[in-house]
Formats: sequence, structure tokens, C-alpha cells
Amino acid sequence: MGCYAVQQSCSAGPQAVSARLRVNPVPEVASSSGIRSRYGLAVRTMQKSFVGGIWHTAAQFDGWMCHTLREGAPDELEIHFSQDSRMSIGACVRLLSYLQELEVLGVAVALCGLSPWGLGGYLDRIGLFDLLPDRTDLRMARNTNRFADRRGQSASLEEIVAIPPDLPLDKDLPRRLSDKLAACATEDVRDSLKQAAFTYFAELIDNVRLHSEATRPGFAALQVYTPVSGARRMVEITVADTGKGIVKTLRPALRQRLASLSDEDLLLLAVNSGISRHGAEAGCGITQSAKGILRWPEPTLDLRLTDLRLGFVPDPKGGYLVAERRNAPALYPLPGTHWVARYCLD
Amino acid sequence: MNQIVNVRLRDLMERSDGWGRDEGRALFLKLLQTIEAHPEATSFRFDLTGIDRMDASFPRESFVAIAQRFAGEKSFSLAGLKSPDLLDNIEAAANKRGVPIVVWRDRHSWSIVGPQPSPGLLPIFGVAMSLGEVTTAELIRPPHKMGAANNVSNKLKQLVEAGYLVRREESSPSGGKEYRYTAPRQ
Repeated sequence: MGCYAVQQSCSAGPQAVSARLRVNPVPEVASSSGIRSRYGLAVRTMQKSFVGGIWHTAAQFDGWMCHTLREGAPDELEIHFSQDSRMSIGACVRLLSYLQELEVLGVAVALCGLSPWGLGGYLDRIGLFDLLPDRTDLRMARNTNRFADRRGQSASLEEIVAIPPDLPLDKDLPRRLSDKLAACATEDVRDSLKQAAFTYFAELIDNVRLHSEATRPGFAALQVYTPVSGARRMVEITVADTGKGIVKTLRPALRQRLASLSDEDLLLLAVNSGISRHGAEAGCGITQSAKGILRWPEPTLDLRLTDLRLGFVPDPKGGYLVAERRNAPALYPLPGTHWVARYCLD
Repeated sequence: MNQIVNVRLRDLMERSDGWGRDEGRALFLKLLQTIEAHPEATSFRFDLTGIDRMDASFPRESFVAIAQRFAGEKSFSLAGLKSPDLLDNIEAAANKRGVPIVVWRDRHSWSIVGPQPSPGLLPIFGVAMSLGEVTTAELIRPPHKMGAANNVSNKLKQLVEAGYLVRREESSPSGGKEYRYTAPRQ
């Protein structure tokens, strides 16, 4: 993604993102039976960093977080950004998902080093700061929310939308998202793109609400990336939740033949043919969402579950094949189902 | 008996988009009421004029589910599709439910979404579509001459069971009873 430009500015710097984890000295907490040791851990400090000036996709950012948290969630986590960090919209949504999860675990998270320009400006522009969990400490030099009056007005960006699991949802949401994308396409493919994007958002957002069993909001967003020179415009669209994950919701209802499949084979089947816990007559939503993307140049699909991440690419024989996989323990157990699709518009 | 009921789906929907299982089920109930309001009708045409977009869950839970429920009793077809892109999700829904539905491109040309008739049944289904209604006796006579009566009758029965045609009983000219097989009509 190095040649794509969005609102994020770029400046030189030795480190793009770094994190420092601190586990406090053994805390003592009161319990009904008296004072006792809670952790029994020694003080430990870890620091991770990226080389500056590169893009972070959702998978890359996720890999970095997994590495950072490989020994478990700490008491406190500082995530240090540098102004030459650039994150795709999928990576930004993944950051939010991590922040949600760390909030639930009681980790005190601070976002450090962000300025009102560069990555900080971009995160503000996409509405990420409005969706931060209550206890996330945003350490920025200036006030955020500078772009509130511009929400919804970008031709190439749909700011992150929260998908409440149990509250009424804006019924025009899939239409709005797909219209936004279609407006960036050329006339001859506009209708087709509109329908494909509508299916993607409608089905996956419906899955968040009907099947994820999430108790916290999910997220949807899109960004069109315009090439600096000589490359096709590219779109990244993402829908994520922090529920149980599709494998965990599917498995209990599967009959023997399907139940014997590995998680990877099960997901490949879901993407290429469709499966459902509600019987053979349901379960075409994920398939149709994925199929719609296949019509566009250079499509990829990334799926992150609690203990599995799969990267799907087109199979020359039709449908998708798994080109990349990562399993536990290399993955931090981030709950939910996180989809990121990418393809070219031209 | 031969009335064709045109149902404009957009009139039964809140918006021009069909989104998801819940909206599909809401439309299913409205379609059920419409069908029950026309007990004499055996042929329904779902007009999709005015519908811009739909996902795959919406047709699966609404009009495709209706076609499945009344398969063999009533025939259903689709017309007024704004764009062929809409058809892809309808086809996926029809395949999932195993329900064939005729889609009219114009007054004379059609295609089927969902399971296709087997090569052995396709010629008889084609004649039924072009004539609207057929009997075994008509199909074994010239100009069709589609085979022996038993064979043709058996194939017509298979087309009914699979939801391609609807059968009703009538008095034959010779005084006995015969079955008339009705295809979806434009």
C-alpha cells in the first residue's frame, strides 16, 4: 500500500509505532477473606516498535499487537504512535477492537504521541476518538473532534460507524455505505459495485446483530485510496464485532460431516459455498458477500477470529483459497469476527 | 381460476432496499396475506420494479420462501428487475432453498433461477412455458409429439413436484377427468 495516499500526512521519523507495557509491582487487593496477593508477577517491561513511514494493514497491526501482548494482557499499556505511521481503515478498526477488549480486561491503555496532523488527524477524521472506550487515555497535544462538521462529507471515506448489538440501527446504513463507494466508481460499473457493496455491508452487519452474540458495539467503515501515480484506486471495507466468532457460533449446530472439518476448512466452505447453524436453506450471506468482491481486480479477504486469522485470495478454479493463515499461540485471543476486504476500483 | 395476480413488492416494503432476515420475514407475512386474499389464483407475478438493492438473506426469507411454501400449488415468477446484479442474490437464495423461480426479462423471454430442470424435463417445461397450460393429451399429439402418454405424464408430475408447474384437475372433453398443468405466466 506504499503508493496510496489518504488524509494521513507523512514525515520522517525513526519509529512509527511503539508500545511500552508495564506490569505493576505485585498489587495487594482486599478480598472477603483478607489481604492476598493477586498476581505474584515480577515487574516486566516490553517495548515494540515499527520502522516509520510504512503502511499498517489490519493484519500487520494485528501482528504487532499480538507480539506486544504475547505474554498476556498487562495492567497498563501505552501505545506510542509517530507521525509517520499510517494505518489503513481496517487497521484503525482493529485498533478499536483491541481497545474494547483491553477495556473489558481492565487494562489501562494510553494512546501516546498523536498530533492533530498526520495519523492523529486521520484517526480524528474517521471518528475513532469518538468511539474510544471510556478508560482509554488519549494523550494528544490539542483537542480532538476538529472534523465533526465534516462527518459524512468525504467522497472517499465513510467514518467508522458503530453497530450496536441490541439497539435499533440506522436502516439506511448499508445503502449509505454502498452509495459512497459507488460514487467513486466509473459510470459503467457503478450499479454493479453498488449491489456488491450493499450485499457485503448488509449481510455482515446483519450477522453482527443476529449471530455474533456480541455485547459491545461492532464497527463498519470504508476508505477509497487514490494512487499517487500509476496505480489503481483501491478500496478497503471492514466490518468487525467482538462477539463469539463465527466458528464458535456455527459449530454447536453442525451435523457430523461438517463438524469433523477443521476451522480453516469450515471457514473456506462458508466463504465459497455457505453454511449456517439454521440449516441447509440458510447461510448464503457470507458467500454472496465474498463472491461480490471477486468480480473486482485484485480482491483479497482477511478474516480474524479469536484464535485464527485467514487471508483469502481468488482460487484460479473459482471461489477463494486460503493464502495465509496464523493460529494460536501466535495470535492474541481477540474475540469476535473481523472482516477486511480489499479490491481495486479501476 | 386462471387469474394472474401481480404483486408489486416495493409497495409492501419500507424502502427501496431489501435488507436482511428480519425485513425478509416481514415481507413474507405480507405476501402470505396477499396470497390468502386471492384463494382462487394459482399464478402470482412478483414485480420488483422500484427495488434498487437487496442482499441474499432478504429474498431467501421473503418471496423465495413463499415460492417454496406453495411449490406445486401455485406458481410464482419475477418481473421488473432493475439490474442483472440483483439477480445474483436471488439466485443464491433460490439455490439455497432448492426452489426454481421463473424470471421474466420481457414478455416473451425468461430464465430460471434456482435449480434448473433436468435435460429430460426441459423440453416439456419449454412447451408449457410457451403455451401457458398443457395436458398430457396435448403433448403427445402433433405438433409436439413428446413421447408416450405414460412418459409425458410422469415428466409432468415430476415438474409439479419440483415446483416448476402447477396441476389442477378438470373435466376432459371425453367426459372423464384430466390434469391441466400451468406454467408461470407473464
